[in-house]
Amino acid sequence: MTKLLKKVINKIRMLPNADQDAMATLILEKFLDKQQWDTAFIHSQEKRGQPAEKACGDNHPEILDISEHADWNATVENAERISNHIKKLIESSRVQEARKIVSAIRPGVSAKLDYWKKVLTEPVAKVGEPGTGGDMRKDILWFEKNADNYKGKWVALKNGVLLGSHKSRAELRHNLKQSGKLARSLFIRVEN
Amino acid sequence: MESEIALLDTGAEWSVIGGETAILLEEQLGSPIESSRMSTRLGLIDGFLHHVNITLLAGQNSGDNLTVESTVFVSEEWEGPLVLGYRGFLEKIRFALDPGVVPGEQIFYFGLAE
Repeated sequence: MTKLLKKVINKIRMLPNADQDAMATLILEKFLDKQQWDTAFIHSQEKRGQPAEKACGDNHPEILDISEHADWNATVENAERISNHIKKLIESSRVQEARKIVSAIRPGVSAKLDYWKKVLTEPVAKVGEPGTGGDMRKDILWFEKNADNYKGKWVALKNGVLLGSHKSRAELRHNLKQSGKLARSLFIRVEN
Repeated sequence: MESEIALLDTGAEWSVIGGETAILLEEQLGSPIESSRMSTRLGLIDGFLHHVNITLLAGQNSGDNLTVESTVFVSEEWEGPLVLGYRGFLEKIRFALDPGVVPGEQIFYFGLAE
């Protein structure tokens, strides 16, 4: 333990018990935030109230490997903080770490955590009906020959034939639907 | 139902749907609880992650369609093409690309990973 930390703890010792617990909670929150949840783990409800010096000791009894606990006790109180951390991981392209965290959280703790659990689910592929796609080769050839004339617009093609074009995808879709030409059409937006 | 061309980008963190398509989709899916931010070649964009089904259409007599329960990033700010990215989509299918020799010969192969 450093001299500075000893000094802080000695000052905290002088406070009333309730204030000591409040300081311990604050220190724990800062410590766990610093760990950035890579191997951090919020202490379970059974372990709350322990003195900060014990919780932050060398063996880190409060820091547990998430993967070892299938039934992680995320609570309403810490759900917002966990959700924010997950969001930061996702925005930092650390999706696998975020997935590991949410996999250990039981459903129903909070709407935000349930949302993260849903969108972080690994994709599932299923074989469908026999191919219903058209032959795009003619469409691609048309596009490469004529795209320059439709810059900034959406074009709809089918078997190499232009069905329509419009600046608005919604408008083009509406027009084709009205004329019965929407089915199996291919929409492409021509970049400016 | 119509189909749309997408840009295959194994380097994209998520699949991305932008512009008018994003507006249409968000109306159907509603606004999720949390927003996200994504770094793209066009800069940082704000949007939402949605859990949607994406179907890859095989050509007739060329195999079967493949539907993937995916996670995509939907953002009106994205002005580029529809992107098929790695997380939430490509990571759990098998795919290969034959760039072809002449225009119109490109072939994208896809199938189940397991």
